[in-house]
Amino acid sequence: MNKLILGRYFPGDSLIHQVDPRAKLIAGIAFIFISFMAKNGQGLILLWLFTFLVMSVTKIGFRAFFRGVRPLIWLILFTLFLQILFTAGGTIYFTWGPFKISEFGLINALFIFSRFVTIIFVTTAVTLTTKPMELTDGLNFLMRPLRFLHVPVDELSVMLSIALRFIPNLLDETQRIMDAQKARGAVFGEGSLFHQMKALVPIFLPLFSGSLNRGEELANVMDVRGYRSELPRSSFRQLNWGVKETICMLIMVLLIAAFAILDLVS
Amino acid sequence: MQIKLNHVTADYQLGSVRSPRVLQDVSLQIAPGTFTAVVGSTGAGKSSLLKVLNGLLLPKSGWAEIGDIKINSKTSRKSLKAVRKIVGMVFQFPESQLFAETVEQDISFGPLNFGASREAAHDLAIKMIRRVGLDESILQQSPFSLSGGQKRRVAIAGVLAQGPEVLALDEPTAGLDPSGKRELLSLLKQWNKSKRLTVILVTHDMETAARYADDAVVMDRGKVVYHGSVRSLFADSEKLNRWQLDVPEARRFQLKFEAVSGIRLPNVCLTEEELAAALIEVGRV
Repeated sequence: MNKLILGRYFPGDSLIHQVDPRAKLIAGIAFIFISFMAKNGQGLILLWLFTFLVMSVTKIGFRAFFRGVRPLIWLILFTLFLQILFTAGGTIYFTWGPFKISEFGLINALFIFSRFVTIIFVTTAVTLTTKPMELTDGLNFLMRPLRFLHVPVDELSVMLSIALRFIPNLLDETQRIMDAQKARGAVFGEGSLFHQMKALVPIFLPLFSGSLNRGEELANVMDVRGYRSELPRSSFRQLNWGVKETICMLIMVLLIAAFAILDLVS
Repeated sequence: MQIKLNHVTADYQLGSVRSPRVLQDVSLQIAPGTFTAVVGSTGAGKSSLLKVLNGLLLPKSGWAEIGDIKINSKTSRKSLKAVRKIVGMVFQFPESQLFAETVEQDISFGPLNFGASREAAHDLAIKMIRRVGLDESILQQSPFSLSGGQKRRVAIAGVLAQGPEVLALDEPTAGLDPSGKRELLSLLKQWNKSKRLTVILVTHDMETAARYADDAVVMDRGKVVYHGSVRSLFADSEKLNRWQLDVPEARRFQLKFEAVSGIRLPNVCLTEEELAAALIEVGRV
């Protein structure tokens, strides 16, 4: 349960915490593209330097970031092995049937690993320093152009914020129900896969029924308090684009420029 | 079944939030067959105490002893299961643990987990649904179709079906109407008396503690500050104040009466009946 990184906000007052969520979102998305611009050794070093800079500016322990990588570790390892074992080229160090470990394979793997991990670290930095509600506000703003395509942007962001809002409640309830079933002699995480799946029924059914009830209650409460999905809504939290946000964007532009130059030079 | 806690300290973790020392150096001994109320203000560690008894929260230091099974930070899963069979646990709003298609299946869940045969579980379900004062016909209904009070009784029947020697309940009457509350508590008292079931009841309600419990455990910020008879607890108004505990109505009336009239009643009155008897006695003299 502790692995869930989404919606996990670390309170703090670092520089990154204070930046407007829209700027952070744009920067985060930009970084994903930037990481693909790193094509040589210097680029790789710059990528990691920037990542560690961002991580240390958040003032959050690195452990929280590593926890963000953990759920994806198998995917990362799988891709690495594919790269290492099936890429040919350069000096070949080892061959065994169709598998070969080559210079190019190792270099490719290093790049892919770096991209994966730095992307996870940087996006984790964004989610760890932004309150879930701010994140949805920011997303809502960035998705606004989609309204012209008749995408129900406001409804989507209300749904997202409700979902995020209830994650802690759900965790709490899961824990309670698990305890209750354990007290009735249920054992989790033992036996065959089928057995383990069957053991989850006594957790999920009450959880579902509880969530449905809560959903209905929430809908009633929203109705009573005058929520109308078809009307435009104002926002209690005002988003503020100031100097910090512009600087943040400039940094990203500079980063892109730096990578472009590195690419040209080599 | 003797219950013993020896210098138990425990932390509690939910998600990434860790509350250190929800229990601090708790030593406690609960005799078999007693009805004990655990009281204290919110966050005093009452629920955590129950969880330790059930092996859901393992002591960080110290140990708990349920009968001859010892629980400490290294206790194996197997002996935890043995503990859970002995100590039945009714959580707050236990109806949220119902999951099966029929009431019978839900009640059988515990016994089957603890190794009962299907026939035995079936017989137990019939026995227990009667014991909680519901009709047998309810067994084939879906637990989700029942009323709140019925659901709660079904949930309690499910715990009783495990055949516990100790029943630990966390606010079992929260959200019940007055008559439902009275019925449930009288049932508990009755099982306690006739079946020699040890009952440990966490409650906020001093009336409940005064009327039904023999002993009281008062918890304050993770520590047990009082363990003794209910009557001597409510006799000491100064301590009650310090621990922010309410005084039962009858006792409050008694105190007011004594202060205004200057007449001392012969004993500490916890219920209306006792109060009425005491007043009559004083009046006669």
